[in-house]
Amino acid sequence: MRSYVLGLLVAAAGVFLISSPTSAHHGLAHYDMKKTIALSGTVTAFDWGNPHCLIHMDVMDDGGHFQHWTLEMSSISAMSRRGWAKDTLKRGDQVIVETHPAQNGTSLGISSSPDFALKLVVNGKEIPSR
Amino acid sequence: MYQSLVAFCKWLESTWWGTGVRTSLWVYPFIQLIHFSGLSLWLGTNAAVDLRLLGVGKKRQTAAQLSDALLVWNWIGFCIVVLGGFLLFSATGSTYVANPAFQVKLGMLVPLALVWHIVVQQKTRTWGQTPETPAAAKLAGLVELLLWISVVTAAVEIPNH
Repeated sequence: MRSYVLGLLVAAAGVFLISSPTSAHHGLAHYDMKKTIALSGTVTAFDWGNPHCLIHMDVMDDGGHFQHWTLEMSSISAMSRRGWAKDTLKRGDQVIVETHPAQNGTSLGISSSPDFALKLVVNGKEIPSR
Repeated sequence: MYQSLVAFCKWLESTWWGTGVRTSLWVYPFIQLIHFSGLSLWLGTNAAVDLRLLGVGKKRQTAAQLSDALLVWNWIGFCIVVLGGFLLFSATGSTYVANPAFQVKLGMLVPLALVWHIVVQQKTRTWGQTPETPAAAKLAGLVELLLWISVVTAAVEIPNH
Protein backbone atom coordinates (compact mmCIF):
# COMPACT_ATOMS: atom_id res chain seq x y z
CA MET A 1 0.00 0.00 0.00
CA ARG A 2 2.69 2.41 1.01
CA SER A 3 4.64 1.84 -2.21
CA TYR A 4 1.52 2.78 -4.22
CA VAL A 5 1.36 6.10 -2.35
CA LEU A 6 5.04 6.70 -3.08
CA GLY A 7 4.48 5.78 -6.72
CA LEU A 8 1.69 8.34 -6.93
CA LEU A 9 3.99 10.98 -5.46
CA VAL A 10 6.59 10.28 -8.12
CA ALA A 11 3.93 10.44 -10.84
CA ALA A 12 2.68 13.77 -9.46
CA ALA A 13 6.22 15.13 -9.43
CA GLY A 14 6.63 14.02 -13.04
CA VAL A 15 3.43 15.81 -14.08
CA PHE A 16 4.62 19.00 -12.35
CA LEU A 17 7.92 18.73 -14.20
CA ILE A 18 6.27 18.47 -17.61
CA SER A 19 3.67 21.16 -16.97
CA SER A 20 5.87 23.93 -15.59
CA PRO A 21 6.54 26.59 -18.23
CA THR A 22 10.29 27.05 -18.40
CA SER A 23 9.91 30.14 -20.57
CA ALA A 24 8.46 32.09 -17.66
CA HIS A 25 11.92 33.04 -16.50
CA HIS A 26 14.93 34.42 -18.31
CA GLY A 27 17.42 32.35 -16.35
CA LEU A 28 18.78 30.12 -19.13
CA ALA A 29 22.19 31.46 -19.36
CA HIS A 30 24.36 29.95 -21.84
CA TYR A 31 26.35 33.05 -22.51
CA ASP A 32 28.44 33.66 -25.59
CA MET A 33 31.80 33.93 -23.85
CA LYS A 34 33.61 34.67 -27.12
CA LYS A 35 31.55 37.79 -27.69
CA THR A 36 31.90 40.96 -25.63
CA ILE A 37 29.63 43.95 -26.11
CA ALA A 38 29.62 47.34 -24.36
CA LEU A 39 26.37 48.74 -22.99
CA SER A 40 25.81 52.34 -21.98
CA GLY A 41 22.82 53.27 -19.87
CA THR A 42 21.22 53.96 -16.51
CA VAL A 43 21.12 51.59 -13.55
CA THR A 44 17.53 50.87 -12.52
CA ALA A 45 18.45 48.50 -9.68
CA PHE A 46 21.40 46.67 -8.23
CA ASP A 47 20.68 43.37 -6.47
CA TRP A 48 23.40 42.64 -3.93
CA GLY A 49 22.57 38.96 -3.57
CA ASN A 50 23.56 35.31 -3.65
CA PRO A 51 24.22 33.25 -5.65
CA HIS A 52 24.70 36.19 -8.08
CA CYS A 53 24.58 39.93 -7.84
CA LEU A 54 22.50 41.43 -10.66
CA ILE A 55 22.72 44.79 -12.41
CA HIS A 56 19.43 45.95 -13.95
CA MET A 57 19.83 48.79 -16.43
CA ASP A 58 18.05 50.66 -19.20
CA VAL A 59 19.97 51.04 -22.45
CA MET A 60 18.86 53.40 -25.21
CA ASP A 61 19.10 51.75 -28.62
CA ASP A 62 19.77 53.50 -31.94
CA GLY A 63 16.06 54.05 -32.52
CA GLY A 64 15.67 55.91 -29.23
CA HIS A 65 13.90 53.04 -27.49
CA PHE A 66 14.85 51.83 -24.04
CA GLN A 67 15.86 48.22 -23.73
CA HIS A 68 16.05 46.67 -20.28
CA TRP A 69 19.16 44.60 -19.58
CA THR A 70 20.00 42.29 -16.69
CA LEU A 71 23.66 41.56 -16.08
CA GLU A 72 24.78 38.67 -13.93
CA MET A 73 27.75 39.28 -11.64
CA SER A 74 29.49 37.03 -9.07
CA SER A 75 28.39 36.05 -5.58
CA ILE A 76 28.60 38.55 -2.74
CA SER A 77 31.81 37.01 -1.40
CA ALA A 78 33.53 37.12 -4.81
CA MET A 79 32.37 40.70 -5.42
CA SER A 80 33.47 41.74 -1.92
CA ARG A 81 36.96 40.45 -2.58
CA ARG A 82 37.06 42.78 -5.57
CA GLY A 83 36.17 45.71 -3.35
CA TRP A 84 32.47 45.89 -4.13
CA ALA A 85 29.74 46.68 -1.62
CA LYS A 86 25.96 46.86 -1.88
CA ASP A 87 26.14 50.61 -2.56
CA THR A 88 28.79 50.39 -5.30
CA LEU A 89 25.96 50.81 -7.81
CA LYS A 90 22.80 52.79 -7.18
CA ARG A 91 19.62 53.47 -9.12
CA GLY A 92 20.28 56.35 -11.51
CA ASP A 93 24.01 55.73 -11.91
CA GLN A 94 25.26 56.18 -15.46
CA VAL A 95 27.26 53.14 -16.46
CA ILE A 96 29.26 51.84 -19.38
CA VAL A 97 29.66 48.11 -18.92
CA GLU A 98 31.04 45.27 -20.97
CA THR A 99 29.20 41.98 -20.99
CA HIS A 100 29.11 38.56 -22.61
CA PRO A 101 25.56 38.42 -24.03
CA ALA A 102 23.18 35.45 -23.81
CA GLN A 103 23.39 33.17 -26.81
CA ASN A 104 19.64 33.23 -27.37
CA GLY A 105 19.63 36.96 -28.06
CA THR A 106 17.70 38.06 -24.95
CA SER A 107 18.92 41.21 -23.21
CA LEU A 108 20.84 39.29 -20.60
CA GLY A 109 24.57 39.10 -20.06
CA ILE A 110 27.31 38.07 -17.68
CA SER A 111 29.89 40.67 -16.65
CA SER A 112 31.66 39.05 -13.74
CA SER A 113 32.37 35.61 -12.33
CA PRO A 114 34.95 34.30 -9.87
CA ASP A 115 37.26 33.97 -12.91
CA PHE A 116 36.84 37.29 -14.66
CA ALA A 117 35.50 40.84 -14.33
CA LEU A 118 34.72 42.91 -17.41
CA LYS A 119 35.23 46.66 -17.66
CA LEU A 120 32.75 48.83 -15.81
CA VAL A 121 32.64 52.64 -15.71
CA VAL A 122 30.30 54.25 -13.17
CA ASN A 123 29.50 57.96 -13.54
CA GLY A 124 32.69 58.45 -15.54
CA LYS A 125 34.91 56.55 -13.11
CA GLU A 126 36.24 53.10 -13.87
CA ILE A 127 35.84 50.49 -11.15
CA PRO A 128 39.14 48.66 -10.96
CA SER A 129 38.68 44.93 -11.52
CA ARG A 130 41.00 43.33 -9.03
CA MET B 1 -0.11 25.56 -10.17
CA TYR B 2 3.21 26.91 -11.43
CA GLN B 3 2.14 30.47 -10.60
CA SER B 4 1.27 29.56 -7.01
CA LEU B 5 4.61 27.78 -6.72
CA VAL B 6 6.39 30.96 -7.85
CA ALA B 7 4.27 32.98 -5.39
CA PHE B 8 5.33 30.60 -2.61
CA CYS B 9 8.99 31.01 -3.65
CA LYS B 10 8.65 34.81 -3.64
CA TRP B 11 7.23 34.59 -0.14
CA LEU B 12 10.16 32.37 0.95
CA GLU B 13 12.56 34.93 -0.54
CA SER B 14 10.91 37.68 1.51
CA THR B 15 11.21 35.84 4.84
CA TRP B 16 13.96 36.89 7.23
CA TRP B 17 15.91 33.70 6.61
CA GLY B 18 15.53 33.87 2.82
CA THR B 19 16.61 37.50 2.73
CA GLY B 20 19.39 36.79 5.21
CA VAL B 21 20.91 33.96 3.19
CA ARG B 22 20.60 35.89 -0.08
CA THR B 23 22.14 39.15 1.11
CA SER B 24 24.81 37.90 3.50
CA LEU B 25 28.54 37.85 2.92
CA TRP B 26 29.41 34.65 4.77
CA VAL B 27 26.11 32.91 5.67
CA TYR B 28 25.56 31.79 2.08
CA PRO B 29 28.82 29.83 1.71
CA PHE B 30 28.27 28.47 5.23
CA ILE B 31 24.80 27.19 4.25
CA GLN B 32 26.36 25.65 1.13
CA LEU B 33 28.82 23.94 3.47
CA ILE B 34 25.92 22.57 5.54
CA HIS B 35 24.16 21.33 2.39
CA PHE B 36 27.29 19.60 1.08
CA SER B 37 28.25 18.15 4.49
CA GLY B 38 24.77 16.68 4.95
CA LEU B 39 24.96 15.41 1.40
CA SER B 40 28.24 13.67 2.14
CA LEU B 41 26.79 11.92 5.19
CA TRP B 42 23.56 10.99 3.39
CA LEU B 43 25.18 9.81 0.15
CA GLY B 44 28.15 8.26 1.92
CA THR B 45 25.95 6.02 4.07
CA ASN B 46 23.71 5.25 1.07
CA ALA B 47 26.72 4.30 -1.04
CA ALA B 48 28.19 2.13 1.74
CA VAL B 49 25.05 -0.02 1.91
CA ASP B 50 24.66 -0.08 -1.89
CA LEU B 51 28.26 -1.25 -2.27
CA ARG B 52 27.73 -3.87 0.43
CA LEU B 53 24.66 -5.12 -1.48
CA LEU B 54 26.95 -5.40 -4.49
CA GLY B 55 29.29 -7.54 -2.39
CA VAL B 56 31.98 -5.11 -1.17
CA GLY B 57 33.29 -6.02 2.31
CA LYS B 58 31.11 -9.09 2.68
CA LYS B 59 33.49 -10.75 5.16
CA ARG B 60 33.08 -7.92 7.67
CA GLN B 61 29.32 -7.88 8.19
CA THR B 62 26.06 -8.60 6.39
CA ALA B 63 24.24 -5.87 4.45
CA ALA B 64 21.45 -5.97 7.05
CA GLN B 65 23.93 -5.35 9.88
CA LEU B 66 25.63 -2.50 8.01
CA SER B 67 22.34 -0.89 7.02
CA ASP B 68 21.09 -1.12 10.62
CA ALA B 69 24.31 0.37 12.02
CA LEU B 70 24.20 3.28 9.57
CA LEU B 71 20.43 3.89 9.68
CA VAL B 72 20.51 6.74 12.20
CA TRP B 73 23.46 8.48 10.52
CA ASN B 74 21.81 7.99 7.15
CA TRP B 75 18.68 9.90 8.20
CA ILE B 76 20.61 12.50 10.20
CA GLY B 77 22.49 13.20 6.96
CA PHE B 78 19.17 13.46 5.15
CA CYS B 79 17.85 16.02 7.66
CA ILE B 80 21.02 18.13 7.33
CA VAL B 81 21.03 18.07 3.52
CA VAL B 82 17.32 19.00 3.41
CA LEU B 83 17.81 21.81 5.94
CA GLY B 84 20.72 23.26 3.94
CA GLY B 85 18.86 22.80 0.66
CA PHE B 86 15.74 24.46 2.02
CA LEU B 87 17.73 27.50 3.17
CA LEU B 88 19.53 27.80 -0.19
CA PHE B 89 16.18 27.44 -1.93
CA SER B 90 14.67 30.14 0.31
CA ALA B 91 17.25 32.65 -0.92
CA THR B 92 16.31 32.48 -4.63
CA GLY B 93 13.66 29.78 -5.04
CA SER B 94 11.84 31.52 -7.90
CA THR B 95 14.91 31.27 -10.14
CA TYR B 96 15.45 27.62 -9.15
CA VAL B 97 11.94 26.47 -10.07
CA ALA B 98 12.48 27.94 -13.56
CA ASN B 99 15.83 26.17 -13.92
CA PRO B 100 15.59 22.99 -16.07
CA ALA B 101 18.42 21.22 -14.19
CA PHE B 102 16.74 21.99 -10.85
CA GLN B 103 13.36 20.81 -12.21
CA VAL B 104 14.89 17.50 -13.29
CA LYS B 105 16.72 17.19 -9.98
CA LEU B 106 13.95 17.98 -7.50
CA GLY B 107 10.90 17.26 -9.65
CA MET B 108 11.97 13.84 -10.86
CA LEU B 109 15.32 12.40 -9.77
CA VAL B 110 15.19 13.15 -6.02
CA PRO B 111 11.65 11.71 -5.50
CA LEU B 112 12.58 8.67 -7.57
CA ALA B 113 15.90 8.08 -5.78
CA LEU B 114 14.31 8.70 -2.38
CA VAL B 115 11.49 6.21 -2.94
CA TRP B 116 14.02 3.71 -4.31
CA HIS B 117 16.24 4.25 -1.27
CA ILE B 118 13.40 3.67 1.20
CA VAL B 119 12.34 0.48 -0.57
CA VAL B 120 15.94 -0.80 -0.74
CA GLN B 121 16.47 0.06 2.94
CA GLN B 122 13.36 -1.96 3.88
CA LYS B 123 14.28 -4.87 1.62
CA THR B 124 17.87 -5.01 2.88
CA ARG B 125 16.52 -6.39 6.19
CA THR B 126 15.55 -9.57 4.34
CA TRP B 127 18.01 -9.48 1.43
CA GLY B 128 20.97 -8.78 3.67
CA GLN B 129 20.74 -11.69 6.11
CA THR B 130 23.44 -13.75 4.43
CA PRO B 131 26.99 -12.73 3.38
CA GLU B 132 26.12 -13.34 -0.27
CA THR B 133 23.25 -11.08 -1.38
CA PRO B 134 20.70 -12.21 -4.00
CA ALA B 135 20.95 -10.93 -7.57
CA ALA B 136 17.92 -8.66 -7.06
CA ALA B 137 19.73 -6.97 -4.16
CA LYS B 138 22.84 -6.38 -6.25
CA LEU B 139 20.78 -4.85 -9.03
CA ALA B 140 18.83 -2.69 -6.55
CA GLY B 141 22.07 -1.43 -4.99
CA LEU B 142 23.57 -0.62 -8.38
CA VAL B 143 20.42 1.22 -9.50
CA GLU B 144 20.39 3.27 -6.30
CA LEU B 145 24.04 4.27 -6.80
CA LEU B 146 23.27 5.35 -10.37
CA LEU B 147 20.19 7.28 -9.24
CA TRP B 148 22.15 9.34 -6.71
CA ILE B 149 24.92 9.97 -9.23
CA SER B 150 22.19 11.30 -11.54
CA VAL B 151 20.87 13.56 -8.76
CA VAL B 152 24.32 15.01 -8.10
CA THR B 153 24.96 15.44 -11.84
CA ALA B 154 21.70 17.40 -12.21
CA ALA B 155 22.66 19.50 -9.17
CA VAL B 156 26.08 20.31 -10.62
CA GLU B 157 24.35 21.40 -13.85
CA ILE B 158 22.09 23.95 -12.08
CA PRO B 159 24.51 26.91 -12.45
CA ASN B 160 24.91 26.14 -16.18
CA HIS B 161 21.24 26.74 -17.00
